[in-house]
Amino acid sequence: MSALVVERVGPGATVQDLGRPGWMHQGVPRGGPLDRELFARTQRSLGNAAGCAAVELPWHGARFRARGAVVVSVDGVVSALDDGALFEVPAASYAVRYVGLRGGVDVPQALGSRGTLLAAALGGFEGRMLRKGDALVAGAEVAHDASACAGVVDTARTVRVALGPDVFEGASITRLLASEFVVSDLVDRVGMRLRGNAIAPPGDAAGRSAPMVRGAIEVTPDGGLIVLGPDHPTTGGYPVIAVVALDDQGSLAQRRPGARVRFSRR
Amino acid sequence: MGDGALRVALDEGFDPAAVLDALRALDGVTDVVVADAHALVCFDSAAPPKGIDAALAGATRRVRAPKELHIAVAYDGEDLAEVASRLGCSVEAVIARHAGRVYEVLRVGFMPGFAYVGPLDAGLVLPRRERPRPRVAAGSVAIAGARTGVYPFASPGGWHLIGRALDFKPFDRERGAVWSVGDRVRFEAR
Repeated sequence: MSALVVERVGPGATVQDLGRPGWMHQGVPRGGPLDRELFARTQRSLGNAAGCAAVELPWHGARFRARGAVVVSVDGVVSALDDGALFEVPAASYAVRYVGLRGGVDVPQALGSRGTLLAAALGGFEGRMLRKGDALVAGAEVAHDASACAGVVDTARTVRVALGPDVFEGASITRLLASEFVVSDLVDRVGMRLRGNAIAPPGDAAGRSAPMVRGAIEVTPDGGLIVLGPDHPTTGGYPVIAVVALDDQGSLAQRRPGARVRFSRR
Repeated sequence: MGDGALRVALDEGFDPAAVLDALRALDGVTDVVVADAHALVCFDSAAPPKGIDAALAGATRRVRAPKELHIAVAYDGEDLAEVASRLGCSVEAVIARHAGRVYEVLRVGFMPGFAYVGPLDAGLVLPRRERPRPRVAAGSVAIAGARTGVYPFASPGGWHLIGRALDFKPFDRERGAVWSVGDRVRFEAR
């Protein structure tokens, strides 16, 4: 079986697919790629089915070695590797890269998905982050002809939000929409903490836990913002001032610590 | 709540199991979360489900028979002595109160397989710890407020640790959570 063997990888690298809808009532978040568009582009470039698994590389590059002949794609750019070839994936200017294999990355499904949920050691490659020596075996899920998939990753656009569902004062909404925020270094698949102007939580915010979704912007008691990622807890106790539009979640997830974020009302 | 999800407020005294089942049965609903005062309904943003209000209005009867779970517990948690002293009773009394009744699974959420079980005996109710622990071991049996639970995975946690579940794992990687809202639970001291 042809495979891509990990020679070097940074923290946080996991196998991901489109996620596992249908389990949130059991406390299992939907998961899925941090950047759906780039993930889809990578799969298309290989002729893979949309739901194939690929490697998600946040923040760092990686090095692989081909075992057998494999066809790989990094963010839509395809390379054919001979047996034994070294393959270097440098870190990009944006945060998250995808390394796909023709036929998909073949790991067992767990609750209907090959995606990794680290908090529950569920799915992916043994439920954990990738490390040196892991062999990512190519599957057989080719669905169609490969298509060229050039494109850019936009990390600068204004992030559109739908306000609510919790009710905040007008001044807090104005602060959210008129201020510039900065991505902190507290970022993972669970959430992204932003730095910037503090936003006053509503007075009755304390206590009750409420359902959460990806993209929810929680306001912590100190006025900070946390934008929930694909592996968010299904319930949370902080009020939600707004939710990031589906189409802008990838652009936000692609910003590195220090990058700027502006929100606009949709 | 953003694209593809709606958060609806629930009436006081709602039946979580009935609400969950009624909403999950709607066409086009992919996920449902029932929390303290709200339900979340997820769907494909291109095809929102119809009939949410009617489903909620009809969610008064349970369609599923509850499961009964017996969980053996070694009552040797790190906080057991402190819990007893804060409640002004003996360690034995804490154990007797915790193991002495049949509870219901009130909510499932936060992390995979985590269940909020209750209500606790009024003589066991304490606020959460002031400083959450950075790591609570998987299998820990804990209490906070009027609720008890079993940590499915090692995680940060602010509840008081009173014991360890023996031969019980709240989450199975092949089948999912082993308990659902509405199930009955009894803890047994070992």
